[in-house]
Amino acid sequence: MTEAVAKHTPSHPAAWWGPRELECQQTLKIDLEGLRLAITRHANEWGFFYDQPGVRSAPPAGLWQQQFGAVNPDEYKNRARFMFRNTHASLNIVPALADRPVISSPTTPLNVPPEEEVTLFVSSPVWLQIYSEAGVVPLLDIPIQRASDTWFGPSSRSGELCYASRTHGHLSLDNVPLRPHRAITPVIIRNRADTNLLLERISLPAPNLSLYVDADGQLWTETITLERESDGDMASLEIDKQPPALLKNALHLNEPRSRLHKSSLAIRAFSVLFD
Amino acid sequence: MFEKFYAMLNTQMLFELLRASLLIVAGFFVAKLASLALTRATKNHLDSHHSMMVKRGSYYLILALFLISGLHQMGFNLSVLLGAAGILSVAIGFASQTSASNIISGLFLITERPFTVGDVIRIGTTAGEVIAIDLLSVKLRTFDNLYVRIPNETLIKSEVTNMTRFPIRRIDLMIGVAYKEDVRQVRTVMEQVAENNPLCLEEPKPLFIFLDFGDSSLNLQFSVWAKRENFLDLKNSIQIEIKEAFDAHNIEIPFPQRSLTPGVQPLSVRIVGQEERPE
Repeated sequence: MTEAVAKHTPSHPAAWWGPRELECQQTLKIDLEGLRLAITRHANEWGFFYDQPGVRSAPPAGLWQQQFGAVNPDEYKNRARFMFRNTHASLNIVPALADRPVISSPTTPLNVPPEEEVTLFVSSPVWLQIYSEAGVVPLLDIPIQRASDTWFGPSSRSGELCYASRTHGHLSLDNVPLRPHRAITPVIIRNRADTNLLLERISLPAPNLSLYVDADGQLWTETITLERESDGDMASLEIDKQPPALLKNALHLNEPRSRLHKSSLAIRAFSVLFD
Repeated sequence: MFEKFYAMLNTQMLFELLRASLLIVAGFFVAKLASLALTRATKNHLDSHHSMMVKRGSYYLILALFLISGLHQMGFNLSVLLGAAGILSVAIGFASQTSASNIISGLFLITERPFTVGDVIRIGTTAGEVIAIDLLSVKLRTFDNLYVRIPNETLIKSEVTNMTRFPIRRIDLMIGVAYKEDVRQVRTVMEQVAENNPLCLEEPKPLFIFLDFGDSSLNLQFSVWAKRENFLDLKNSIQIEIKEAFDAHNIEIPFPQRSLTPGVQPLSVRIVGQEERPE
């Protein structure tokens, strides 16, 4: 699976992902939305040095750059070394979605009246994975911007550890800012119950979603549909098998980290998907 | 003499003795096999502790049954034996009161399940990871790697805190700031620190309490939540970050202060330096 991804990653002109070639003793430095990453190749070793931006630091929008040059490992907080018999010249950088569900809180809580349907565009943080030439397991798998932890569940005794993300809950695609380190998920919310559905927090099943890129270089996931059942206690989650229909020339970039068992439809307790 | 011995060999008694020993030996094997099979069958449904209990219980029960039928084969009158055992058990009971109490406490502990093997618990001043729950005692490995045996009776009688039962924990920070500080600003600064720390959970939200007007400071409580595994990391990082943020915003954490008033007559202060200065 991963190998296929590694070989067919499209090289969009604005894309920060894709294969990179390095000669021995060469260092590639990448600055991506506040993430500072340096990759060094030795005869038997790949070295990675990186600094992630803080949770709330605002990175320059839409910018990334790379250059070859010398590296001073002391300038970076995190480092990782991988040993090989012989290193190959190429590495592949692949975007991925979060490894835990992402809890999106609209800046203002939204209400969905009974029998209404609404489509929200929710963005979630993107991870950066680096694969060696023949690698199936990523050497490096780090968030571009570290998201804050949060707890999602009915009580402090039961629930799930997730990442927190603020969203404006844009209803129109024109208002969604395009950022290379965020992936957009169209979320269709249907309220079949006879009371208002107050959306304070939505759990986005990021580990179960695939990643696509559109013609503008923006990252997308499949559309998900959250439907509140008529009894109000249960909700169903459905993940489309196709990229969102509104994308033109969507290219598949990465598989989900884990697939939902059996079908793409999951019925869960209401409190597992909404809050 | 040999004739007598041979005669005895041919007797019914020897035959029964042989049968009884065969029964007991077979009992050992059957008990062993049955307990192993039971452990395997219940492996997926029970935790390690209960599985161990099933294994031991079934082993001793089957062995006891075979032993009883072996004794029966040898012609022992079991009612007499049981009667003797009753008298004996009273004597043993008096002699081993503590052990019996520990065993009963152990049974209560097993049914109540306040903790399982692998949990981190605190009893009195001892905290550590549970490595075994046995019939008489619970064994702990403390964080400084000491082996502590706690009798079950003590556990039943005293307050036990299970620190790993729930997935998230709260850290309560007690902070005193100087009377001159703006408490609202202090609160905002601390909330920003919590928001910027990735280990600090956004939900449940951090809690701010203005505790009281202390002797030297305004006493505040700031409580943040962390995943159980990140408890110490967050405790360290957030306190360092709060100190840094207070320094950056010139928020003072005061030392204990005491104001002295001289009473009715003012204290006379004499500067001795000038008088003693040589001409």
